[in-house]
Parts: sequence; C-alpha cells; structure tokens
Amino acid sequence: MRRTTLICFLVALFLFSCSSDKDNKGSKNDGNSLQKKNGGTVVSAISSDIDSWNTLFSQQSHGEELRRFLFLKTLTYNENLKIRGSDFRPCLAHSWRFSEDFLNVTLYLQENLRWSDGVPITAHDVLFTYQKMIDPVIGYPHFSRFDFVDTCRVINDYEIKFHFKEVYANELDHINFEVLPKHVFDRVSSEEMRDHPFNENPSVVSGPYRLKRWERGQLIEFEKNPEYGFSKPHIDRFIFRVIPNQISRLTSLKTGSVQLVQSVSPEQVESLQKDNPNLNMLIYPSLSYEYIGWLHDHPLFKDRRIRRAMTMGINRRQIVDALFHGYARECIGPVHPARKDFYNSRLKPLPYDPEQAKSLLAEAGWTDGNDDGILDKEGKNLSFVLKTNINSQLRIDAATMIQADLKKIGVKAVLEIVEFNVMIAQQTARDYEALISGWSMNITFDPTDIWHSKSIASGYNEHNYANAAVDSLIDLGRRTLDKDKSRHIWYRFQEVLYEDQPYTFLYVKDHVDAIDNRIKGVKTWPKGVYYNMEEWWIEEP
Amino acid sequence: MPKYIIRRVFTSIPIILGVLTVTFFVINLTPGDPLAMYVNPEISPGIREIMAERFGLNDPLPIRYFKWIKNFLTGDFGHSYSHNRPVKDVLFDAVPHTLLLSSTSLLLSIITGIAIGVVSALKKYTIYDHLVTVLSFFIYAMPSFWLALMLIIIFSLKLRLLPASNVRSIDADTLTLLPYLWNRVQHAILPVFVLAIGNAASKGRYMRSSLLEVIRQDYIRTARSKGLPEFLVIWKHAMRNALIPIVTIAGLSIPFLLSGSLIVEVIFAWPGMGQVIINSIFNRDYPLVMATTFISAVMVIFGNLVADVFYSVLDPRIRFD
Amino acid sequence: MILLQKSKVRHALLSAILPGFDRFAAGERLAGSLCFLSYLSLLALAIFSWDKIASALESNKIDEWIAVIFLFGMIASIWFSSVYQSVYSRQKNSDGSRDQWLIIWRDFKKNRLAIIGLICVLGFYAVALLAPLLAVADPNMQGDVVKTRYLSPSFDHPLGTDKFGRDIFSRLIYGSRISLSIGFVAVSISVVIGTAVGAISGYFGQMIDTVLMRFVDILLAFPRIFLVLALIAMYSNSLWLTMAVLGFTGWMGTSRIVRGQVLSIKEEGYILAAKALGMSHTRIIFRHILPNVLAPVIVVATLGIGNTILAESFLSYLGLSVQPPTPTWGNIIFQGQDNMLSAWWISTFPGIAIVFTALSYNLVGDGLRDALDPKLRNI
Repeated sequence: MRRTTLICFLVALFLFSCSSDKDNKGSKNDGNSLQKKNGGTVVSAISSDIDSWNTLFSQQSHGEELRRFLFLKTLTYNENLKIRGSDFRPCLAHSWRFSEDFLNVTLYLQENLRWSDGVPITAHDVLFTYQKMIDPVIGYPHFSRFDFVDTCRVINDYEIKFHFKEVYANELDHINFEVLPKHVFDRVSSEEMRDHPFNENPSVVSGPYRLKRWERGQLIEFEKNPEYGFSKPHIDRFIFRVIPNQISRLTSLKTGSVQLVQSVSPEQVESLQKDNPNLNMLIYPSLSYEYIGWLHDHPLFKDRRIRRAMTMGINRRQIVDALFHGYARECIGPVHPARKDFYNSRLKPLPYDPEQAKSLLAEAGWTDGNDDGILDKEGKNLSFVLKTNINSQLRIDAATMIQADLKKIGVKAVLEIVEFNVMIAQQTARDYEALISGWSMNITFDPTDIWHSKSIASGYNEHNYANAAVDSLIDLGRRTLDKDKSRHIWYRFQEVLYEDQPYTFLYVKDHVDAIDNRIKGVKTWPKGVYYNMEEWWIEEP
Repeated sequence: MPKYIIRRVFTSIPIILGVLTVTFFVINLTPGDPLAMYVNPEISPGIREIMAERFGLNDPLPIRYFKWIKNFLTGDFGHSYSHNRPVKDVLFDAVPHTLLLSSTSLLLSIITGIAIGVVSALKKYTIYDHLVTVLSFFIYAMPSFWLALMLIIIFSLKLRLLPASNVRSIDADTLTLLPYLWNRVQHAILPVFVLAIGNAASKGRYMRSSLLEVIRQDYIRTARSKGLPEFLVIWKHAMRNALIPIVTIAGLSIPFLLSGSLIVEVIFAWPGMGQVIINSIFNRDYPLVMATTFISAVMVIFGNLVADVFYSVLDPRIRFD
Repeated sequence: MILLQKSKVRHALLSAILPGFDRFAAGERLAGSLCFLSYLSLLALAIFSWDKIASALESNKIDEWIAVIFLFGMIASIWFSSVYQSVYSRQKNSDGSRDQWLIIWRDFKKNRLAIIGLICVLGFYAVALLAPLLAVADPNMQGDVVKTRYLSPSFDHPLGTDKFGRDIFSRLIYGSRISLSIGFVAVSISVVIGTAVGAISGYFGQMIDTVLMRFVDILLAFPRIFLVLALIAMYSNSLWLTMAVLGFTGWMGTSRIVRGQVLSIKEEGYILAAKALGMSHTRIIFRHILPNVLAPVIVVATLGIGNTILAESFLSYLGLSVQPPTPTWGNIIFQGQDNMLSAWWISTFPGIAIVFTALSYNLVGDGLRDALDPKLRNI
C-alpha cells in the first residue's frame, strides 16, 4: 500500500470542502449525537435534463453527477480529491496493487456486490465497459483517457489487470470509470448500443438508487436500490425538476416546492439569506476558472508587453467584488489555488496598475498621438474585438467592466457577444482577436490539452500558444511520479505562464448552491454537492 | 370545393420542399459548430472528429442535402445531435405539451377577443370603448417575457397562489381524477394567460372594426327597421358577417398551435415545441431544425387553407373554382 | 378695421408671451395648452441645462449639436407659429373636402385617444433627440462599481442605477434613441419592400404574381425566429443588423395587403384609361396606384413600429440585439431581470417605456384605421 500513497499525492488537497464547514457545522455535530433518520424526499431544480443514462453516450458534465446515483465507479475520491478504494466510500474495487515499474496495476474488486437484478458484479463487467469505451464505433467522449493503456485483462472474477504503455502520473485516475452491466448487452453490437433502451431506462444498476421515473424535460425520480451492497442511503427519494429559467428556479426554491438549487447567481445570495432563513447557502470552490484568451498570431497580442499591459489594466479585484460578491478569487494561472500541492503561492496576481500598463504600451510604441483618448501607433488606433458568448450573463457583465477598464488606459475593446456555438466555431477556426471564456478542469491535473504546442493542431490550445519551455515542462511533469520533483516542475510551469501572460487569468469561481437547512449531513466537494448523498438525512421540523 | 382543397394541397408540396431546401442551406451555412458541446477539456479532443464523421458532417454540402432528402422522403427525420436520440422521439415528447398550452390559449383568446371587440364596437367612442381599447393595447404592448416574470413574482412568489413552473406537481399522478385535473389547471393558468392575453387584445381590435363595418350595412338597417330587437339584429345578422375576419385570423394562428411560444415555455419550464425549436437553432442541431421547420411550414400552409375554406363557408359570395 | 387691428395686436402680444394663447382663445384648449406647456418646458430645459449647451457647442459631437439645434429650433418655431397664427388668423378651409388628407386629419382629430397617442409618440422622439441635454450622466459611465451600483431612485439618479452603477434614467433616454430608431428604420425597410413586392405582384399579375407570392408563402412558412437567428449568426450582431434583420423578416404581411389593394384598384376606370393613354407602367404604378394603397400601408406601418420595438426586446432577451454597452430598452430589462425583486427599478422603467411607446403607436395606428375606414376592410 505504500506505493498507492505514492500515487495519491498527486491530488492532495485540503482547502476543498472546508468553506462549507461553517454552514454545516450544526449538522455535523448533530450527526454525532443524533440518530440519522431514514426516509423523506429531496427535490432539486436543475436547468437542463440529462442526455443519456449510459456513460458511453453522455456528453454533458452534469450527467455524471446524476449517474452517480445509479452506477458505481471502479474507484472513488475522498474529500481531498485523493483516490481511494471502497475502504473509504462505496465503489467496486477495495484495493489495488502496482508493479515495481508502475507499468501494471491490478484492481481487486468487492466480492459481495450485485446488480439490481441480482447478477453479481465482476471483473468481466469492468473489462466489457473498458472495451466499449475504447471502441471507435461507440465514440466514448473520454476515450483518450485510455491512450496510455496497453492492455486490460481479467485475472479472475474479482481481479483485473491493466498494463500501461508508459508511466503516467495520473494512471489511477484514468482507470476510474462507471461500470456497465455486461449481461444486459450480451447480444448487442456496438452499433446497436447507441439506441439501446437501456440508455433511456437503466433497469440494471449498481448504485444506491435506481431510476423510478423519467419524464423528459420535466423530472427525474430516484428511489432506493434494494440490492445495493453497501450501507443503505437514508433518503427515500431524490427528485430532480427541470426548470430552465433562473427566476422560476429561485421562485420554486423560495416557495418551498424545491429544496436544492445549484449554481445560484452570486448576486442572489444576500437576498436569499435575508428572506429565507430556512435556506443554507453552500459556497465552496469549483475547479473552473475564467480567462481572456489572446490570439498569439495576432500582431497585437504576440507582444508579451501588450498582454501584460492588458492584464494590469483590468481591475480584476473589482470584477470579483462587483459581480461575484466575493465568491470568486483572482488567479495567476491554470492551477487552482485549492490544489495546494501544485499551486505556486509565491506568485501573486499582477496588480491593477493603469499607469504601468500605459507605460508598457508606450514601450511597445502605443501613445495617444492624436489626442482622442485612444492610443495609436502609425495612425492606427489600439482597438480590438473582444468576444464572449450570450448564454453566460456573468461573462457578458465581466466583458462590460473590462471594456470600461481598458478604455481608461486608452484601449478600445469592441464587444461582440455571440452564440456559444458560433464562438466555438470561430475559436476552432482562429477567427477572433480575443475572447473571454472559461475552463472547467478535471480532478486530475494534466495541462497537455490546453498548453502544449502539439495541442494547437489537435486539442484545445486554440490560442496558438507555443512555448518550448512550457512544452518540455509538461512532458516532464506527466512522467514524474515523485511528489517533490513534480511539484517543482509545476511550480516552474506556472512561473513561465505568469511571465508570459498567454491568457489574462481572471478568476476562479465558487460553487454557490442553496439548500433547505433541514437536509443534514451534506459534504461538498469541487465537482458538486451530491458527493455524499447516501449520507444525507432530513431532520423533521 | 374538395377539388379546390386537393389542388391547394398539391400546390403546397413545392412550397414545403422550397422551405426545407432553403432551411437546409441556411442553417448549414450559418456559422456555428453543431458539435460545440464536444469542445471541452474534460472530453477527448479527437471525439469531435469521430462525431462529425458519424453524423456525416464531413461530406460536401450537396451530398448531405441529397442524403437528407432521401431520408426525409422515407419518413426518417434522423438523429438529434443535442438530444442524442431520434428526432421523432423528441417531437413526440414535446408536441402534446405544446398542443395543450396553445389550443387552450387560442380558444381563450378568440372568446375574449370577440367579447372585447363587440363591447367596444357597440359602445363606439364612449368611455367603455376607450377603456377597453386602452386596456387591451396596454396588455398587447407588454413584452411577453416581462409580463411572465411579473406574474411569477406576483402570483407565485408574493401571493403563493399558483406554481411558477412545470406542467404538474411531483406527485400529481397519485391524485384522483379531479384533484389531478385541478393540479394541471393550476400549472397552466399563468402560461395560458400570458399567451392568450396579447392575442385577445389584437383579435378584439379586428372584431371591433369588422363589426363596425357590418353594422353600417343596409341589411342591418333593414333588419332594424323591420322592428327586430337590437339583440337579435346584432347576434343573428351582424355577427355572422363580422366573424369572417376573426375566422381568418384564427386560421392563421393555427401554426402557432404546434410551434408554441418560445419564451413562455422557457420561463414556465414547459417542455414543449417552443423550447425544442429555440434550442435546436442555438445548438445547430441540423436534423431537429429541419424537422421543426417542416412541421411549422406544414402548419402554416394548413392554417391558410383552413382559413380560406372557413371563409367560403361563412361568406357564400366567395367561390373557389 | 382699426378695432380689429387693435385686438389683433393684443392677441399677438399675448401670443408672444404665452404661445398658444390664440388657440386657447379660439376654443382649442387642448392644442393651446399643449403648445404652451411644450414651449415652457423646452424653455426651462434651455435655461437649466445652459452649461451643457455651452459644452455641447464646444465639443465636436454631432448628436449634441443636433440636440441643441433641435431645442432652439423647436422653441423658435412654436413661438413664431403662435404669433404668426394670431396675426394672420387661419382662414377656415371651406374647400378642404377636395383634399382627402385633410378629411382624414379631421376624422383623426376626433379620436381623442389617437391624438394622445400621437402627442406621446412625438414626445418620445423629442426626448430621443434631446437626449444629451436631458441625461444626468454618461449612460455608459461606470464609477466605483461596488459603491454606486443598485442605488434606488434618488435625486442624483432619478430612476436609480444598475449593476454597474450606471444611471438608469440616462440609459433609458439614450436607449430611446436606439429603440425608436430600430422601430422606425426596420418598419421603413419592411414597408418599402412589402409595398414594392405587393405592387409589382398585384399590378403585373400572372407569372410574376405567382412567383412572388409563392416566394412570400415560403418566407411566411419559416418561423421568423429561425430567419432572425440565422441572419444574426451570419453577420455578427450590431445596431444596423438588428434593424435590417427585423425589417427584412417583417415585410411579407404588408406585401399581401398591398397586393390585395392593387388587385382591386387595377380594374378601376382611371387605371384602364391611363393604360389606354399609353402611360408607362412605372408611371401608372407611381402616380396612380401607390397613392391609393398608401392608407393601409400607413396603418400597417404605425402598428408595426410598436411590434418591432417589442421584437427588439425579445431579441435582447435572447442576448442577440445591439452589443453592450449601448443601451436599448430591451437590454436594460434583460440585464435587470435577475434582480427584479431586489432592484425592481432596473427592469420596471424600461418595461413601462416599451409599453407606453407601443401603446401610443398602436393608438395612432388605430385612429388612422378609423379615419381611413372607407378604404380599409380586412386589415
């Protein structure tokens, strides 16, 4: 087990789940002294319906959160985002063992677990799911997570062994996935799986709950799964109502027909707390950050001084205070501050300093020659188009404030708010100058897809950022298993980005969820509020 | 008459094909990535290409067009990108909800519209007329999303009289018939009201001017001079003719029955066609866009036909040959 | 004679001091008091915003110049017309029956509601033109956001501030320019196209008619929202695009109405006579047909402006209208909608502005419809 811990350091986090302690202190203490009650119903409002109950075909990020009610994964994360076996929380494997060279890992599965139809859950199910996930006919959205896996074979019913092509720091995280019941798909080809009834009606499940009803676009109802092999959850029913409009969602919350709403706009927190003493606000870090991406081929933004001046000319603190009411933090790079092991706390956000921004721009040749309030160089005004997408009000608001800030240093930013799909298409075609966007990060840390120059052609490096130093740091970091070494690599990685300002990193956001205070035992974690829903219980009034 | 209808149906086929062809090229040439949802660092970068291949998005446009026409003629609407299921299933789920909402509000708006129109026509230029006119224009002039939000704040949040969203309560299906129906009605009141009220106002204006027009005619004067009671004059003689334009308008509202109302459905969390249409356009879900446009085109043409047929039934002077 | 002259001089003097007096004296109390009130308020505006006028004259911003010119132009013209009319008392137009527009005006004037609507519409346009003088702050100015946002209505900010601390009153006034011009330009586009297509289709008939009307059918069969979204996605959204899109997707109804009218006029004796005289088609269309279909077109246009302003607010709701920070009534409402409870003033006032503008236009259109009645059947 020593080796396991060696791998686990990668995501040792402490800050997560801390901020919610204040709100839940009462309930945690109650949990020790009082009997946790069984029964009751929790109704949540969600903004859009799930697309598929089959992990192979689901592309939404909130789908995984809902499917956790139905399907066990091979492994699990603890509160600090460290990977664990079922000695800690319910999951299929109770432990695992690495080979000396870290090129093999064997998962040991729990032997008493059954699908909801009574069939035992075995290594064959795991193998079947893995095979479907790498099957190009299926087109599993996360198929590339297995790129480093060479083979996978069943040793016996409860042991399965993965062999890797190369040593990779996030090995264990990448073989953590939802497992599907093989016996349901016995005579089904990969082509037929896409339209299989199981995707709409998952009748055979392994999780604490099973799907009782699903009215498309209206509601999802879960009830307890009697065959669940771990200790049974306390709450009888979880119901999710689909309500797309935020005002309607909050109205349902305030009138009590809904007890839990996720992603409340930060502006609403104060009034919700004031008018509704029966609500708890859960505020905890998410893994997403927002940024302004500069197109690095652009004549303006290929100059580091200009990118730096832009960052210094934007009052990020004010945006955080004004739009997020403090439920966000300025950030310095792509590593989340809560990721204590990698986050380089020696770097401080560049200060808001319009004067220095102006002198940087002057250094780059931009001065207000014609005295019209906008800097110019060789008769051309310093003006660019700043894009963002229409379905994010917070981004549009941020863009409005950024525009006003830049105007003060003599830069004219023309806003263009476009549809999300249009922005993505333009981003892919590099048809933009600068854009405000955000990334929601995986639990594992691997910056390859966004920052490595090879991802310009195939990946998400859509700003054409190429820096040889960054490339070699990433290549090194991916292979490094030693905790101290990899920490130094990622520290350096952040320093290079900090100097270079390839993005203007704006802020990391918090989750803001509102929940009825009779629901007890809630622990939050960065990927959402339902992390420990088996342990929730409702305190009768 | 049947001959006329058959001819109309046949002439509408090229129109529908024309609409669909234009839609196909417009939506495909409109910027926007139908696979934008696959652009996400939590998703493998290569998946977008695999999906593009699977959905046939890598073929040249004309080939895609002919493929689509072929499938469409065999009744296959294809697979929705964003819903990840066959288009026809998406439509089957959405249509009943929209039909319920829109038919109720259409009916309601016609009845109220006629009532408003008759009152203000019979009391022309009196205080009643002015009051009804201003009031109905006032309501007509409200942006519907604004009205909807205001109503939610007043009736759901402040007064707690009506639910703010969804088509029924969670456990409505465990109720007996009457409470169940009442539950459905409660959920429908606000959206139906928002949809009906604006239409009622405009129908009231049409009704008013057409009744004014009719009352001035000789045969009404004749009926009056025969000594018929005013009540009978209005209801038996004037109304029949005054209703003709209303019927036309009602016929033209038929497409709205299936296209639903975009904003009202979103705000009241009503999972109908309005939401499907708007999301399909925003998501560049080409198969779904084509299917919804097809439905809406058919309904428009059908509505026109119905209006014309009714027209000829009500007004024998109109003859089709 | 001399006595008359004396009373005239007295009238003229009184009119010079109190413009509108002569109308008031002549029994037209509404017109008289309105004339006086608008004169007074414009004068007050000129006096109170003197420093703004002075700075406007120094600056080189064209809209400020227009506002100043408009202000003094209006003051002067009200004053002169009042004095002029009291000196040369208006002769009663006894042979006005020949001029159909005068008859229509007379009928229209009888409709009190329509007149009120017209006054409001003119008032809104005056406000839009005078925006730089009326606004209390720069509509896009953000100060120390955290301190100045969400201020409720007060003396400094008559209608409060929004989430960026921008003055709602000023945004509303500047927004009226955008919203009103979107309504006006979009409807102008749709009326021109609709009339042209309708007239050509109705006048030439046969193949041309069939082709054009099938085309109109096709366009009508689209959901309008589809056309609008496609156009906006193709050319990124801006003020001009919003106007154009709303105009180009809204003309089909007009063309049908015009075509119907033309079809019935075409067979009238005077058109046949004109044809027999060998007049060119262009001339017949412009000289004889268009003037006779103008009445329904005007009604459709006035009613359409109200609808277009509503349509713009709908586009704003979808986030597809004019780009920020430019204010329109629609996007002010949209930005305030999440705070309808805590900061009600943000979306309430632009909502009211939209309602009243659309209402006024509809009342005018309705009045016109009544006044033009004999020519209008089923619109």
